[in-house]
Amino acid sequence: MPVKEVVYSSAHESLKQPQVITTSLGNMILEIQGELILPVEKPEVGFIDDESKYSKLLSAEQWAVKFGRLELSGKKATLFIGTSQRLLGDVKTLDPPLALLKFPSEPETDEPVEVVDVIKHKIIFTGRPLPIM
Amino acid sequence: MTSDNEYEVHANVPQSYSYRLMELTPELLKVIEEKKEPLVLKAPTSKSEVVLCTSSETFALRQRNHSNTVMMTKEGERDGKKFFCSYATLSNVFEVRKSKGHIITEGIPLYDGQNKITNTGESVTLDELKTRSAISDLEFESNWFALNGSSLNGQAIILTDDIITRTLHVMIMSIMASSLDFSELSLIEVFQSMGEDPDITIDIVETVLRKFVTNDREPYQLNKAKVVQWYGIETLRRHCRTKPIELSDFFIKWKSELPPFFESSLDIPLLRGNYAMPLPERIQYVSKLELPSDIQNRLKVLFKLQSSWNLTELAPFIEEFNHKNVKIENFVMKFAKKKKQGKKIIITQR
Repeated sequence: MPVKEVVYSSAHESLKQPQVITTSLGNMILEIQGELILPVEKPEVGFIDDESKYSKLLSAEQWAVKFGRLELSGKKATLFIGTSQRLLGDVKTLDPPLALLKFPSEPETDEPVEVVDVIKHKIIFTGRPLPIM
Repeated sequence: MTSDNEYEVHANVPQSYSYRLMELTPELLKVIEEKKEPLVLKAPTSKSEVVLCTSSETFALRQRNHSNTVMMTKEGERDGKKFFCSYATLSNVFEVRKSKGHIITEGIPLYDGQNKITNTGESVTLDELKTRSAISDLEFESNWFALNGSSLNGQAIILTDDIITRTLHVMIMSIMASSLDFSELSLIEVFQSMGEDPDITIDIVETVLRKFVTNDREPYQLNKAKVVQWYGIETLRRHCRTKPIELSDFFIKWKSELPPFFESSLDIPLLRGNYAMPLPERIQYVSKLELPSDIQNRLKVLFKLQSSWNLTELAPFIEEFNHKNVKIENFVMKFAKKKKQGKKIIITQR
């Protein structure tokens, strides 16, 4: 990649609308201090304990797994992971703001790099997980 | 418990690896908000840093890894339930900082006129050079002329000091002979005034003209101080390379190097960073390029030439090492002794 055009129409349009927590394109950063282990793919039928956790949300091809529940109250957030853990977090303003870049899947193509969105807030969970009784 | 502010949280399996996050400087945010100029990512070689260029500024990118789980999620709604679905997990962020940009001049032929080319590498066109250099288009132009860059038959070349001096001399005399205004010059007028010298092409004239003007658009205004400085350094190089000469003698030689009838004041401070004064009132040429490239050895050589330095005269030799932009008088204290004499700051060896 000696030179790559960067297109940013999408981010430009997104910035025209005010942002609360999500951008006008619906993007939001969720940050957890520590590691969250997710399945790499949807297990085959028969190897799965709870089929209802899997659904297709963002596209017709892509499986997604439900791993938790988020409650927002002003600047405070609570994330319930599975049935046994609870994390406390806050809505933070990002300084500097972050650009979300999308790189072409094949690096050698002429496809440009895209600035998809500009993110100004994130929800960050800094504490240790709290057990749910 | 359900409320308006309750969301299911999902994550795509697998997560996408096509996304990255990059910090935005106020300048870059403004570019995206205004959408008036292009953005380009440049990675000239596999070793060099990746830069993001607007049309006039260059920003260096550096990858900072972290161990947090940072998920890019998208808000949505299904069956009356709101959700966030993560589609990418990001394990690093690009830090962005303003960079001066860099033109890779290695391998570019040196040109000394009369078609004399010292070919040190493969030839490249100016456009190819611009593409492979980690610098914005506008900064490329001004930096290129400052580096003595020009072009010959479409190929990028670097002019030697000799051909610059020759061209500058003819140029100044021609401007004066044609009664052109030093503060309102156009490239074509200057070129035409210079008559026909097969050695001096319009590209070479442009490089030399742009090196010695104050602005980067026509009409150009000649920067007389820069011209006098160039001749001063040439005088140092020619007459004071091996041993110091008396200042009064030096001024006579400097004046005589200048094109006849070219009026401008000669000030020693113009030549800072190019000389030492081993004895009072005596001046000797010091080539920064020939000095050691680390600060401690460089200072050793400089103190050998001259045991005590006025900070203002020493500063140009060591500025390049002050990466953190500390105040220069504090920076120098790490390597040498400092004392104040009235308003002057005198630096001696430790």
